[in-house]
Amino acid sequence: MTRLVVIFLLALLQVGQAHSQDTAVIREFDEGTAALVDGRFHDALRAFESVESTGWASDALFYNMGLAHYRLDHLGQAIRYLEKAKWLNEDDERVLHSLNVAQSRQTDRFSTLPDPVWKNIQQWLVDTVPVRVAFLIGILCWFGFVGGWTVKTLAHHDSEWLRRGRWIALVLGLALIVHALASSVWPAYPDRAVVLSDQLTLHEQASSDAAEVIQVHEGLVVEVRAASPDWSFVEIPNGTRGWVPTPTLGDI
Amino acid sequence: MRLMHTSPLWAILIIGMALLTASSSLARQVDVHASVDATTIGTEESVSFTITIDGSDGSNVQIPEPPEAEGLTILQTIPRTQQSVSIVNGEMSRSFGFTWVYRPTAQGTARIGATTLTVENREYHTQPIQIQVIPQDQRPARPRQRDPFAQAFRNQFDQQADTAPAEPDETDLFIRAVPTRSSAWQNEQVVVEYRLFFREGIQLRQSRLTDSWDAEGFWREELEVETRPIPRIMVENGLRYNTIVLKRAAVFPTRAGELSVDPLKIESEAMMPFGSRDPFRSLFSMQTRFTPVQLESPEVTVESRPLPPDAPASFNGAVGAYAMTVNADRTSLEVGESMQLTVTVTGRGNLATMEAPVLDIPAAFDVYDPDVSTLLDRSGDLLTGSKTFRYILIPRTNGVFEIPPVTFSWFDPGVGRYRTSSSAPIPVTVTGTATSPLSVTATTNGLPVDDFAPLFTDASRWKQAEQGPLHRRWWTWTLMFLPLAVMGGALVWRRHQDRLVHDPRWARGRRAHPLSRKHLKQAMELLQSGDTKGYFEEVERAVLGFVGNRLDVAEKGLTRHQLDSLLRERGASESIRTRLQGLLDLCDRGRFAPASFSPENKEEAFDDASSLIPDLDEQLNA
Repeated sequence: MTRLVVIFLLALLQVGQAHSQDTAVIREFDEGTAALVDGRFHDALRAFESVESTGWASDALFYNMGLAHYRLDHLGQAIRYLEKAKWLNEDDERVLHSLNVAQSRQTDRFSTLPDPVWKNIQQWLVDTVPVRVAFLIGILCWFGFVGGWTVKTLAHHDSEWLRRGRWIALVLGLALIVHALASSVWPAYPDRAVVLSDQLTLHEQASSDAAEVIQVHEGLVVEVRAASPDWSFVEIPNGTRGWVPTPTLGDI
Repeated sequence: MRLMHTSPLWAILIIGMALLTASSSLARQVDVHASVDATTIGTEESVSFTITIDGSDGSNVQIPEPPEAEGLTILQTIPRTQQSVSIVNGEMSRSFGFTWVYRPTAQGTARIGATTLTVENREYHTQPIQIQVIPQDQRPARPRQRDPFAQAFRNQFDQQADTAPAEPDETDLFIRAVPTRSSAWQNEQVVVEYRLFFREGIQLRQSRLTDSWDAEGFWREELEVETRPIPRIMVENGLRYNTIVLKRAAVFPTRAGELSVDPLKIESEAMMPFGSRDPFRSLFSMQTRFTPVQLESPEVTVESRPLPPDAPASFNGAVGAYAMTVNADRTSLEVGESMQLTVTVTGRGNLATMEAPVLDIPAAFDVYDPDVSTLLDRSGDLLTGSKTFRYILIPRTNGVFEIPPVTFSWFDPGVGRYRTSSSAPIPVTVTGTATSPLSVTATTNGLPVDDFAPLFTDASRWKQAEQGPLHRRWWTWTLMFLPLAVMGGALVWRRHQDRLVHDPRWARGRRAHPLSRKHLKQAMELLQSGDTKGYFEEVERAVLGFVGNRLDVAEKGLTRHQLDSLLRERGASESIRTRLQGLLDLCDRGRFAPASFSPENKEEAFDDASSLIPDLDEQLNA
């Protein structure tokens, strides 16, 4: 009984702490928004970055960060946070409109390479059954199968329906888990990043002395194929690939 | 304007001017040079040798001795003097000259030697001049001095040459192209001057360019020349020439390599000076003495070098010497009002093609394309001027902003390196809020055209940011493999249960110990309740039950002797068998004569049983 009381009190403490954390996040967001309204863009960014550092995210937070960066003429950062906002809420008109405005200032104009068919199928699958949802359902099916098997094994209780149920749970669970893990290892939507420097040169090798491939400019969204702390292997929209210094990119 | 001293009026004027400028004449630079009127003469002709003293009125000049000559004989040792005053662009210049006339003594190369002249107590030395003396019948026509003194001398000694009109040759009339430099950096300014040289006495009329002048590979800017030029006397190869500047052009190489500027070509009509003083001859030959001539300057070649590679980021191709200023007409305004940012670049170089400096205006401002105005000064030796870029900035939102420094870089050919000029940052305070003008430029959704939508004032949909891909999370693999552990555990448990059912011997062995503990616990409860007999029965049952389970025999039918034998066969030691027999005897006494036991004796039996059972278990398992 004593143990139960202690656990209950600890749980209450945890909930209280979480609530106070949430309150601080909202307060910081409101302070940043007020600074943004007043035109104090640096102050606004400081507040928003404080919220971002807590691990909380929202389309409003990222949109306002993009707006503050845009007002400070940080085109790359503006596009980066607007892309983040779009990732969280791809239907919001304000986000889409502002992203178009920011991208209209981007100087690079590349044709977009079409995705292969298998990529489209994978993206449809991920859009239909998101990775974490697939994993959760798969794990539940897997648990169901194991539970049924355990009952059968320990209680010597079995029937045709239970046997069919176990097999369906096993097949469905494994399929969903494999789908989730495969999409995690080979993402349907590859990691993307935004060019933050005014001008960036893609090199054939991960060295500034290597031959130059092409020059791109601030605000261009690239796909990151491989990354290390120093160099990243990126692909621009027309399919051209090359190495760039990692610090010149901002992840989305 | 040139005045000859032969007119009394001019002489008075000259004297007046000389008095007015007497104080400055001392400081004026004196230049002495010798010249002849021809470097090639016929055996029957004469040649005039003149020493000209520029910058002197002759007042402090000692009459020099005539220079010695080889192959020539002097006709008169006392020199003829001449003085002239010129006013060019408002600046007066004077010169004084001594002229001797020589006549060749033989065909071949003649030479007039150097001489020394003292001007204002300072000695000047002239250079010797060589003269070719050729047979008279090979003598080409040559110009004649318009100078009355020269005419006078010539009429005395050169009557024969006046009989036919002369045509100018390439030494009488030519165009010289002089670039300021023959090697230049790319886009560096090079001024090419085309100067017409013509011998004194030659008259020109109806001059015009015959071909369009071009300079491929260059950006070209014309420089001003005088529309009514006054000839300037220059000595070239010992000959005196009148010169005028025909054209001056600033050219800027647009690429590296050897580049050429086209020759300048003109057509004109030239008239050699009259050689005859016969009025009838002069009258009837006037129309025919102008001879058509075509002149062409040499081609000018400029070696253009590429600019060094270490150009700063703000460099946009400007080469020369520049200075930049940046001004804002206001630094405090309201949303929607405009301010003007003016960037002015002044200096020497190719201002026409200069691009606007890159501005880093905050995004809160709408920036319109600059209004560009260029002001070029073509009157100097080099092309100079200024270029002004006027930007209109309109803030879209309020706040305190800073227009970052405007940076302009250029290549300075004088020192051979890049230079950069940066302005100071300009703070701008914008007050007020966006008003109706913005709504005019709104989309159908009410969002501003070409600007961001309003900010989010409320955030309701919060979520924890993802901490990484699924396959890198520890709980992913825990959730996947935990059921396998459960399955393994269930399988083990099932097999255990099955063995308990199907293997009684193993099951009794597994049960031995727990049953003994159960009986001992019951014995203690009986002891505490005062049931001594029941207590000893439970103690005996615990011990014998354990032994029976371990030996897999029915312990109730065994005698003490049989029990001892079985234990001995299973390897139990003598001492533990003795302890077992002693405990069983004690239990028998306790059951049948319980009153003889003190409470300590009773508990001693319990302790013996508690220690004996593990010892037996150990030995029987060994």
